[in-house]
Amino acid sequence: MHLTRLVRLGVVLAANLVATAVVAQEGQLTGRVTDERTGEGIAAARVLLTGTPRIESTAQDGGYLFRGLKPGAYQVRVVAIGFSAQVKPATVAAGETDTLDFSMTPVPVQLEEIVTTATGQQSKLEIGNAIATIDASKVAQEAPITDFGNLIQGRAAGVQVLKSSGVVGTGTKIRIRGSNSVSLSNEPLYYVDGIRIDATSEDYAYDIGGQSTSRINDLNPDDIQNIEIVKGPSAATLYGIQAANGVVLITTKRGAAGKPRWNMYTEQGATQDKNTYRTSFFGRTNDIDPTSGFPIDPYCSLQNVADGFCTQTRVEQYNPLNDPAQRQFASGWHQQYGASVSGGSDFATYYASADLNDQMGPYQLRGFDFDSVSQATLGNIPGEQLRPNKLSSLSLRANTVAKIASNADLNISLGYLTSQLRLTENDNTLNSMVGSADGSGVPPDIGRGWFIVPAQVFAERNKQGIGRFTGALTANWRPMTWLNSRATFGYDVTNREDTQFWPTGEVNPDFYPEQNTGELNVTRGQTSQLSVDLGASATYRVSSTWGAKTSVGGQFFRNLATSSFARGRGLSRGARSIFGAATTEASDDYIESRSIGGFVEQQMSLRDRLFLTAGLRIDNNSSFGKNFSAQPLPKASVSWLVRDDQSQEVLNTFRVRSAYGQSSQQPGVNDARRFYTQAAVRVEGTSESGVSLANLGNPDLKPERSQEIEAGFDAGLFRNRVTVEGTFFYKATADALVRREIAPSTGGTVSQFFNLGKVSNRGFEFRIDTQILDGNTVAWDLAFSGSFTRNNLDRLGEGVAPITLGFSQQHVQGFPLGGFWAVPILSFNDANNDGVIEQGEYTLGDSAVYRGSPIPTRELALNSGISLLKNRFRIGTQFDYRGGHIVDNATESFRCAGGIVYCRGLVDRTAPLAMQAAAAAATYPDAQGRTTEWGFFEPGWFIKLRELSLTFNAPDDWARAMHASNLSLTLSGRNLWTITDYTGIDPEVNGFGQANFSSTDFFSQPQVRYWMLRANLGF
Amino acid sequence: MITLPVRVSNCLRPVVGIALTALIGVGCGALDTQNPNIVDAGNLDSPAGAATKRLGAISQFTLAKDGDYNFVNIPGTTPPISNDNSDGHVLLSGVLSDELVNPGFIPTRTEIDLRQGQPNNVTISDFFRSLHRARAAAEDAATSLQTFSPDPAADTGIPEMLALAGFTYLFFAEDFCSGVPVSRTVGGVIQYGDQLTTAQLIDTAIVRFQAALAHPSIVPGDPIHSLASVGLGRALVDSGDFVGAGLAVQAVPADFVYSSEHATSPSALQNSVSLAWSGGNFGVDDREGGTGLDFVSAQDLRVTGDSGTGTDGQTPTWIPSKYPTLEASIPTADYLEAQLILAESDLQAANFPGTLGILNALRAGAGLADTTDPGTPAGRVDLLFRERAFWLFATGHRLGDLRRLVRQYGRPADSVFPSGLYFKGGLTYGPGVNLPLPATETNNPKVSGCLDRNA
Repeated sequence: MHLTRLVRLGVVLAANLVATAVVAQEGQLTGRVTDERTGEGIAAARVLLTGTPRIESTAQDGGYLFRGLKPGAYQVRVVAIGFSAQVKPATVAAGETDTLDFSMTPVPVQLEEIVTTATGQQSKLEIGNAIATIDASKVAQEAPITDFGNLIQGRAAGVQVLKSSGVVGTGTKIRIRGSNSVSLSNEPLYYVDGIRIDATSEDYAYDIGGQSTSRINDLNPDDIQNIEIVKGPSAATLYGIQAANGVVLITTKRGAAGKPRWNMYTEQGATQDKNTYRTSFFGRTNDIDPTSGFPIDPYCSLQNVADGFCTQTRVEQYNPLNDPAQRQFASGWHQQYGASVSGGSDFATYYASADLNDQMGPYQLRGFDFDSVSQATLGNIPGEQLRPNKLSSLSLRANTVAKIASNADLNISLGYLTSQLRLTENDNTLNSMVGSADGSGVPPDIGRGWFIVPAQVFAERNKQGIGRFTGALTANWRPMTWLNSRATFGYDVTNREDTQFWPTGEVNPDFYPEQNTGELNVTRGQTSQLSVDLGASATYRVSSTWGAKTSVGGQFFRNLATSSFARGRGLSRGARSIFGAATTEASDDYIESRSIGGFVEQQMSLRDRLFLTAGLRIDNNSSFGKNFSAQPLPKASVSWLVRDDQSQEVLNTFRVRSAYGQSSQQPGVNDARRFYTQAAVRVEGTSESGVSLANLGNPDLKPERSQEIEAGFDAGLFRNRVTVEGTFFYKATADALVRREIAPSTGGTVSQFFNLGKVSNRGFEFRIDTQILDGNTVAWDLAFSGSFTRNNLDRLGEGVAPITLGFSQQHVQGFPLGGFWAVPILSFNDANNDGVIEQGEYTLGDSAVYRGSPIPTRELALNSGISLLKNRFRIGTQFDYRGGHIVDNATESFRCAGGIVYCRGLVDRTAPLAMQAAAAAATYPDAQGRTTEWGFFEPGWFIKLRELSLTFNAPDDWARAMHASNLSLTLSGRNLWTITDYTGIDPEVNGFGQANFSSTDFFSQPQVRYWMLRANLGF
Repeated sequence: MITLPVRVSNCLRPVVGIALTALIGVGCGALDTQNPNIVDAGNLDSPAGAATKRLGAISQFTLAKDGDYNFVNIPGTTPPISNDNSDGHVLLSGVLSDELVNPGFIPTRTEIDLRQGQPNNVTISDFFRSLHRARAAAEDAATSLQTFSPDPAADTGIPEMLALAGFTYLFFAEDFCSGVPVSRTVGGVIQYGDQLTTAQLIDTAIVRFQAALAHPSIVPGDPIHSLASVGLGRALVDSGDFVGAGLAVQAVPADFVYSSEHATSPSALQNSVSLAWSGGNFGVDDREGGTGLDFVSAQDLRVTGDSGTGTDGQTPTWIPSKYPTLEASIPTADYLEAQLILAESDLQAANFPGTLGILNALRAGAGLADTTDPGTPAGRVDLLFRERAFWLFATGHRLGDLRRLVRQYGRPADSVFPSGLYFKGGLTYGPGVNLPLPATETNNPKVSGCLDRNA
């Protein structure tokens, strides 16, 4: 039976081919898309021949051209940002060029868009999933954007951008619809122009505190046209393995047919730390400790007083970060210069750009430290020590689209980045500027109040140099009108050099005695991602009402990360080379993984109102256990345009949609294998090498399997002045890979991977776009979006004890991943009425209880834009809310329980009793020998005025006076105002950087404020 | 555009299926990868592999005893897993006793120094893991040598591994509370062990040392024989069998010393005790907590040092000079300890002249003046333990001795362990006399915590 069908298909195809050869004559369709108000052409509008895979973009003058069309009738659909979509019929005759123009009606908010999918571009209406789209080119021009994360932040419901620090160049963690995996990465996949790129979220070779860099921030925001976010397995199935956390699709800018158009911009600004830091409290006494002979001063705590060990004579307060004479902050200069040119013809378009960026962090050697270093260096303070945090980059991009035949085109996308980042130790370490002040525990008369003086902190020089090339080549070939095939080859290679230099005799000799002899660490690494993507789609009609599209595809992906490390220790003064060092050391690493897979997808459409899609994907990967065989991943979705009536006053459009899909996440490269690594040993005066067990392995290891179902709606109201989008989702990860901590008594390794757990995320996300005012004098658009997500560890695995992370976090079955847990303080009572909560004057619970999630469970964003005087001025704001989570104020906890007492709760008799109880319970064991962090878990909610911008679009004659076509100036600020109950400096930090779940505020650099002035000039 | 009948589109599906299957089939070879940084377990099942495991076990034992300050990520692991990075037996047993203090800022060390170690203390859990890895590596190497060695009966590596395994049991018994479990991995499957009391741990150590001594490859006077002898003597002292202890060590030659060796490079071979001292991570507080010995003010040649500053750059401390370089070796067992065991055996046998004779002979060898009989039983015990403390300073014996003073000699814990006001920061000592089981061990379903926190 199947054979019969194959024969019939072959007959039809052969007949069609013969017909093609015989007829040989094809037609063309051309036309112009214009704005009905002005008659001007609309550039970059998308023109679709519905029911076929053909899509063209309009040129600068609004013109479009389809070549190589089979004679016949077509439905032509035009979609343009800011305009209502239009559909018109067209008839193409053999050997002729038919013309069809469109006059587009402006609409306040957009309902229909063209989005990128794994099978190619298609209308958003056809897709059963919620896909967030961000017009990045517009955002970058008007908003204060300093890195890629800023483009997304607050602009896509259900997508959380979690910044960990205010240090320039440090990383970003992104979570889409919660966290799926207990032990693997929860970062989404990133594609740029169709190829997968390296987006390692922690990518600095050395431990310099909690901070690291993220490769995703290598992308130049000004080169990005738009960003589409595919949110979960229901939509990401066809992207294959590792797509369970969602996919971020980035499209860089393209040229449009027409004369060369130049765009130039410059941005000048400042980075500032305006925070007031915690005050340290010192209990002063004149007593001498009779046992040690050392003065108790300045640590006469309230407990010591109660125990009769000292008499507190006074309490002093100090923190060098709040002392203008010692504060090592200064405005950091931010400057950016960029230029791009685009244009082309009907046969080829191009876009090329260059961008030079220089961002200075807020740290600067000042005061006494400046003077001391200046004196030591005879006034030649190294720039890296004077301003230890700086990012400089040069981005180049060249994109071209060439129509190499009437039925084929070639897309080439090339990007190159070179950058240099200076970092200083920061977060989660006392050897940082913030840590040395916040965590010093000494008053100003000892070491000026610093743990390590800034001159020594800044002497340690950490740098990361990046050279990155990303190239994508996509060939599209339409051998027949109904058949579209594509082949994409991508190569993303990052060469990285991380250096850590400790100049001889310049760092703290007590803390770093070895490094003070001079040390240089160099790690050179290369990460490459090779991807091959082949696919084809056949679009056809199965009846007068039913259309269909069948797609197949196959992908190969290889990730290779290699690195070499070398260290030289014991350097002569002034030297900065490993050669000739007193001792040297070297190491290397090599991690490779490969995956291969394919998919098939069938889509059916009924009268372009109902769209049904089903698909299947199968993958294999080099990191699966030897006992595991690949399994198929299914997907299905439905989209129904219930109403599409622009004549209605209230409800103009209404679409319901639902989708189901599965995706997977691969284990680590060697997780399945039991292996040893080399271990050096000294025996009888000779250095030799033995082996040490490094991984227990698990031959049954298989990928995690995530499945998601979502259902939602899109509505256009009040003549599309308001659009509302809402989506419920539920996703569950079965066979969750759990890095199970092994009882140390096994004598094995720290952990072993098992497919044990189940994790679920459920929630609701929404977005409301509205044009409140639409006048020439005043126009006001508002976008309100948000999400509510509940994460739960449904199952951790039989016999698996809760997994402990960091200081106080655990993965516990029945609770959110990485939740904060501690023994609660049930009550406290100043029993002896001395105004002090002392050891024993509090009651602790029997066991640790859940306190809250480390990741926000609620996020809301309000983006507002007010245009004045025919858009002469535009005021943009973004308010960003996060809540429903807990921040561990570990800095304050350390100041109480870190071994030296200088927190207010244990020193200052006037401190509130609740504060005293929290501090005492963390510091002094109860009768059962227990302490608790409970009192330092604080609600982490905040509202930030994240962005504020004022754009002035200059009159045309101003631009003409400069021989330009347009001119705009934007003054903008970022992180301008915060409302929160958190008692630390900033709840939006994480001393563990981009760690999967571990979260703490531990000597973290708070977010800094940015002010920027940008000028855009178009020619 | 063409119009196809529905059934024709259905025909595409098997074609696609075939194409996909072919693609995946072709791709099988494309999934082959290289892993140059790792050694597969199966490659070690050979004589050379067993010998390599022995070297690895010595490495692991050295790191567990002397510390592992060289933080590294293990190649081939993703996300990276680091090494144990433990402070080691010498430093942690010293800091819980009156031997060492923490003049730095790391709270988990302060917690131990304060005798308040908590189960979630990562310094404790890192050390606990490191010591178990050393135990397992030694036992695995012994088994491997027995299986693959060309001539097991003549392979001194076997008794050496058994002896090192014995020392790991001793360290567990001396450093941790009662209830340390010993689990194993057999054929890749974890077999969780029951909790062992302190006495059971010591008994297991005795069994290991006796097995080593019974191995035909060694005879009395051989270094490995002496290593096992001193280990057995130490275990028997811990168990209270002083007569047996004396007998075990009486044949140890005067030139015997078995040390963990170190080198400056690579970092993994450095003497971490020396490194910790030079960095001000650990120091000495004279008469710590009022009850500690006068390690500083005694100005004894056996414990020399100089004033310095703690890691925090502010806390004054006293830095020992016992291991002056990163290459300095740290003894695991030696003739000196054998003699001190004999001295205690005599003391227990009411032969204090014998004790005094041994002590003064040792002192004479170091150019120290003779010590004298304090005249009271308590004074004699104090003298012996003081001599042990100075001779065995920073070799990982003092905590075991303080616990024995409580357990075997009836001293109140607060009279031998530091107590009262802590030397810095406005804190006071707690009641701990040993390290708790780390919380990570509760992943073992047979463990809920210590069986007994007493000495």
